[in-house]
Amino acid sequence: MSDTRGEAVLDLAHVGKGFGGTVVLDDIDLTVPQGQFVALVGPSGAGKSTLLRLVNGMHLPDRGTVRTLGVDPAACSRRELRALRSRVGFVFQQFGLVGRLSALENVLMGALATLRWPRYGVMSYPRALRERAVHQLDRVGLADQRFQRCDTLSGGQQQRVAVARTLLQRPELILADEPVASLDPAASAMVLDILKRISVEDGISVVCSLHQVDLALSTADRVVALRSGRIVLDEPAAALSAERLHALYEKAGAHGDRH
Amino acid sequence: MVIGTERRAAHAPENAPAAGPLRPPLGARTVVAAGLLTAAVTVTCVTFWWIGLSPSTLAAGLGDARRLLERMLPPEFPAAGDIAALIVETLLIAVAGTGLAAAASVPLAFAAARTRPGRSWTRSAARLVIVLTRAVPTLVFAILFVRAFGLGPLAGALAVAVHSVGMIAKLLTDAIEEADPLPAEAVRACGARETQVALSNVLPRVLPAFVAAVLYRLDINIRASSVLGVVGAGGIGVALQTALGSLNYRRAAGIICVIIVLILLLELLSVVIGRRSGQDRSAGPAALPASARARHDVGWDRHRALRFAGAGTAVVIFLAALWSLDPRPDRLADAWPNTREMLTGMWPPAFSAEVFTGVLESLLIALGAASVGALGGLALALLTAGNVAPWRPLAAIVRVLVVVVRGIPDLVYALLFVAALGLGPFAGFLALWISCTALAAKFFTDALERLDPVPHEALTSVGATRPQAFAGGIWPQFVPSFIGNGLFVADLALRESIVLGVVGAGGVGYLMQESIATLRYDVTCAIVIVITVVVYGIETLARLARRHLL
Repeated sequence: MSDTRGEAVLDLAHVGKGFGGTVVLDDIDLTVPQGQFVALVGPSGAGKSTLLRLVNGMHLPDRGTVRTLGVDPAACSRRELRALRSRVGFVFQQFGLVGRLSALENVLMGALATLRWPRYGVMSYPRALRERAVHQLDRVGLADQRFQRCDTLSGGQQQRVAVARTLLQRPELILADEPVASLDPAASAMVLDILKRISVEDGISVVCSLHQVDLALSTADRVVALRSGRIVLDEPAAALSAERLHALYEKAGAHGDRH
Repeated sequence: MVIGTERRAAHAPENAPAAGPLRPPLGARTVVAAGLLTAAVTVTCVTFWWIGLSPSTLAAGLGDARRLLERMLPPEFPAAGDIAALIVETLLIAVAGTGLAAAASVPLAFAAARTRPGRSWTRSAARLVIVLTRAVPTLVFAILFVRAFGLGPLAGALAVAVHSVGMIAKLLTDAIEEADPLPAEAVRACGARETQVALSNVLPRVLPAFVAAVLYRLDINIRASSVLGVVGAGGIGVALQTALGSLNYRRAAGIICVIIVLILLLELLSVVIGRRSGQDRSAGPAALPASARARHDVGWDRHRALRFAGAGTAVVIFLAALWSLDPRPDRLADAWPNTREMLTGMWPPAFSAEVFTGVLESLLIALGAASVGALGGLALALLTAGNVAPWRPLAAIVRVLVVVVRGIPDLVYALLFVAALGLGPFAGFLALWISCTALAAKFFTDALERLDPVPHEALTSVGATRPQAFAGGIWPQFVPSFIGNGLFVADLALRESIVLGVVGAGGVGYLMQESIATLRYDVTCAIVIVITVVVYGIETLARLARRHLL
């Protein structure tokens, strides 16, 4: 089911979560070893976003236990939770950038957890951090756009800035919630390629929710499929065929996830 | 079923009896609008009765006003040096007060915003501070601070600051709550603290709204600080009060002229700045500048340099203004015993029939003046608004007149009417009526000019007469903003009518000043509580009415 390259960075056991009477996740068991790229697939409403938010403590589980990098978010104080989050990168579908600010300043915000006070303006961040931030922008191919306002960048460029912000955290685990759902195919391939490269080069685990089956198969080491809050498939990507995954979606459509 | 009806209607002769009712059902909007209209008419009648307004008193009043005007002409101007010093002091009070308020409103707004996770009692406390400081007018704070800090501009600046905090913080809170929550969530996911999320992530996004609110407030505060001198809190109002007190009406007229010129210049400046900043926004984004050679350097370009210089200049001017108020530690320490005496004296608040009668009189003056003023303002707006004005030269003249009349603070009108007609609510009503008319005229003109021109054109093109095109193409569109702006005028008038009594023009202001002068702080506290409740109540009613209409 999963290879054993290293210690588990993520371990969910019997996790359940509901919102106001609706069960979103039910009895989820998931272990992710270090360095693995996991694609989380499934129709919208299957619980992918909720699962990712349980991992970094933005939601807390109703049942079961979550261990992220060996830490239980539910047992954390606010300070401990901040410390845990600074070790976990999170990439959002809608980027979460401040459009009025430069790409560089947005990247620098990724390092706020290492600083004591609030910062305002690029020059208020330490020089060493600025150098590291430019380096990360270079890794995503946007070093020349560093002083450009983020709202003037294309969607794909904005998502790459968001990835650079995550990289500045020096994360031990990256969670990505539909990172390419708002992008065109070329930009999607580029962003996923960057995430994959980071995973391979830095040995970081990535858990990435996707709804494009072909992208999941071409990028991930392992595919986990969710439907109606349950894991219905968990296999290495190499052993999977696109037909089987498509069938899963069609079944979901027939069962009426869409009503 | 619907199709069936349509088919029948299409085939029936035109004079056949209709299938459904011909009278439209009564909508909630109609009910609210009719209710407001009835309330306005009733309140106006009650106000007229209360202040004893009749054709004969009005005629006598006009005669008195004419005689006063004769005694004021020609205006006599004080020495240029004196007047310059007073103007500078007025501006410094406004700048220092607004700056202090801007600084204080940032933490307050973040504490009050509903976006922040965390304990809710801090949020409730912050909201209470905002409501309280917004409800109590600057002049009331000025009277209190003159007690605590002594006569002079320090008390004035603090009064300006405390009252402005509420408004700036409210506008900032709204901006924070309307801002996209995702970028904040993204930095929270990086492990940032709440203070870092607020100042590094949210503040940059609400900065344009914040700067706009501060500049708007600065504009209001310069007007307000020109009359703070009436209660001894510094600025050019001191000279006005002295001149009127010594019955030197020609000197008073000169000072009023100076105030008008000052405010007109301000108006001009804000128009120019508004145009400039509009241009700046339209300029494109900066590409990577050549000067950013080092890879970690900030790229300095013209816009960044201008912004930086502008912000730096503003801070320097603010600090200079603060310094000029002479806030020495020993002076501030001296104020503490006074403040403590005031605060302990405030409890328990002494409610009395006098307090309630005073507030009722203020309320009547405000609502009556706003109702009559809205009507006059509508008439003026119909003369000036570009899309309805019958004759352009007249429109231009009325427009300038409205700006001049609006520029003079209500308290100046009140001082003049008290001088002409004697003490009492009649003087206050007339003063507020004039300023409400001008204010309403401006709001209505703006609203009329923003309307969609197409319905009017469509009606004209099918041969409607001018009145028909107005009634069909403009008026229905305009009603919601007429009522909304009318309510806003009433809201502003209420805050003003509370302080008119300070110069003897009726309402609770006189009782307030007297209670402080005679150290009856428990009465002061009762008045402040009643005022806050009434102002907040009227504001809530106005908000509800607006929500049901718009």
